[in-house]
Amino acid sequence: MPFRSVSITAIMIFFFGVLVWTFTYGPARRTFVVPGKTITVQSVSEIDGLWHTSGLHGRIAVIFARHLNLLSLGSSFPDGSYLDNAMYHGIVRKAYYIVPDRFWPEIISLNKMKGALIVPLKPTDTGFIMLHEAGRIHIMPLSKYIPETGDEKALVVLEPRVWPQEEQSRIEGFIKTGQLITDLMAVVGGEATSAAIQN
Amino acid sequence: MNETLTNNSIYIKSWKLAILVLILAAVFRLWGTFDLSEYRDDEFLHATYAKSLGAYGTTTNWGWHHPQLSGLIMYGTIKLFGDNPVGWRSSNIFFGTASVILLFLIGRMLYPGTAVPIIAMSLLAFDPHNIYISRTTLVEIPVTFFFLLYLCLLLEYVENNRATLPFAGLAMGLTMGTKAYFVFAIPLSVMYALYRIRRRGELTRAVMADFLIALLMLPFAVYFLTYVQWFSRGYTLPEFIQMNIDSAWALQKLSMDNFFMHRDFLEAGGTPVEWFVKPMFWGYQRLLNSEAGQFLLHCNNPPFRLLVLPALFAVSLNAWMKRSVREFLAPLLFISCYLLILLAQRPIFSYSSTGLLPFAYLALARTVTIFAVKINREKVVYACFISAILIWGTYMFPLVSARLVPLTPFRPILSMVRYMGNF
Repeated sequence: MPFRSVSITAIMIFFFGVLVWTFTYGPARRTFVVPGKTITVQSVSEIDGLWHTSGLHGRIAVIFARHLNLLSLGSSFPDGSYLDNAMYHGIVRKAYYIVPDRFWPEIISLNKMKGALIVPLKPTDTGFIMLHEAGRIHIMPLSKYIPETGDEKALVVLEPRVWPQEEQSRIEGFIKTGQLITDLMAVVGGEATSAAIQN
Repeated sequence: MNETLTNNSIYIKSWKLAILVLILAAVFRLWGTFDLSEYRDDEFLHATYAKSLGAYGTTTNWGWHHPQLSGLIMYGTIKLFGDNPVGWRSSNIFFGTASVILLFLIGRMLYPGTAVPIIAMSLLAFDPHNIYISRTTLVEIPVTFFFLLYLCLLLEYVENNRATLPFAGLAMGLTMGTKAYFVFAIPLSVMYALYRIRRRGELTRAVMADFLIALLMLPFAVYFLTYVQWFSRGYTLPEFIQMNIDSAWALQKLSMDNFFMHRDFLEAGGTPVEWFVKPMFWGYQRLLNSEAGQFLLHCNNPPFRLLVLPALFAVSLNAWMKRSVREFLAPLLFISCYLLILLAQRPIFSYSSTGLLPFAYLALARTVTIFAVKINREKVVYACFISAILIWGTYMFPLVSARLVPLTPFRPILSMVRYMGNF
């Protein structure tokens, strides 16, 4: 039956076309900063503007800071909406929020407020995941963090003043060794780490 | 007196009555729907969801748990008609009305030569709660439409040997892309189709390949494409799978605490176990004075839905005695959808019953025809039953559509309301 063979062929081409599309369309839509750079900002509220004006889209963010978007976690941290905003606008699709080990108990206590969240935090071996409406936010202490962004360049936010020298060296190590590749690093209220990207 | 109907009876073969019911179904879903210019129920969430989905590929509320097609459809109607009641509600009016005629067509294939199709479509057309839901933005209406479209096209292929299998696959993908209510019903209907073909001795390798390609590869391709906006945010297939696992996990974690703002409303609709057992009315009012007011009442269509469980039993018994799998399909589909809801470990709003109604009403209609044949009073029974459906639906219509009504004629209903908020 010609109709049958034509329709079967068409469906198979369609299916495999869509399958390939699911692997290629998203990455093709991601936009990066070329050449890469490191920017010092006075507060996290400037990151919102920086990310928006850099024409970014579909990115992974790795945030080394004491506070994140604590609006969702029930805190009144004033500058916390930049990640929310970036995720809603498609700038960031997934985020890693890495906190200094000494502040981890503080984060765990916030986790106990999960009744205030529509979706509770999902526990993992390394910490927990906030299932944000616009993507996953992995939350963990630095000691549990192993970069898993692969070859994909990440947006890095670093708040140097909250990190002891030993932990800051570890973060530098991720960048030096290429475990964590970034095209836009925002250093909040301090000097850029010596391992900042060399582009 | 023998009242056995001939095949050309208005209740069996004629399209005239079906078209009349369809027109009335459209009128009940359309009349005054755009008069309420403010959001009602979850419309604010849905409209915000749709606009954010269209613009940024994600939601700005918790709707991320659910597939995205309904949001994209609403985004399309908002772009077409504007960010107003027409843009918000027009797609549900279409899908709600079209579901009525699809149920008629399915009834013709499952119960040929009977009055089941016209009775079942009338039950759905004049179900006050279905009318209510069709006049809002709730996703239960499009997902039920897509599943009925899929089932209709699958039955056309199986029962009438038409080349509709690829179109059934397309509709299956659209169902999957709207909401997960039919996750058990879809494989069940595929198994039914394979069984029917096997009974005819036509189940060859080529047919199996057709099923695999049309009802597995095609639906999944369509399903992936319904997430076009989501993929445009930079995601890939492994992240898509992860997101689906996350959403299943998150849905299981929802508790009554998550619905604290709507707790009274949710509880007034009853638990799923009660949906077909207890008469329930609840909703919102806007009183003009002590004599008149407007109402947006939800209900579980008490006179008819309370007959559904006995009807399912009667139809199942009849199917068993006749050794007819085809007669058994409607109860099986009902059970498959109901089971999913009963097994879900979270609070569920009663409008989730929308997906059950087509099969509930097929079973109820079949029971009516069995009864009518048994007492040999087909014409009288059908005329009385359809009239009762129409009278009840017409009486309830003002209460579900915010028409300004005097209170006196509706006091019997209003006295039974379990929860009444204001709008």
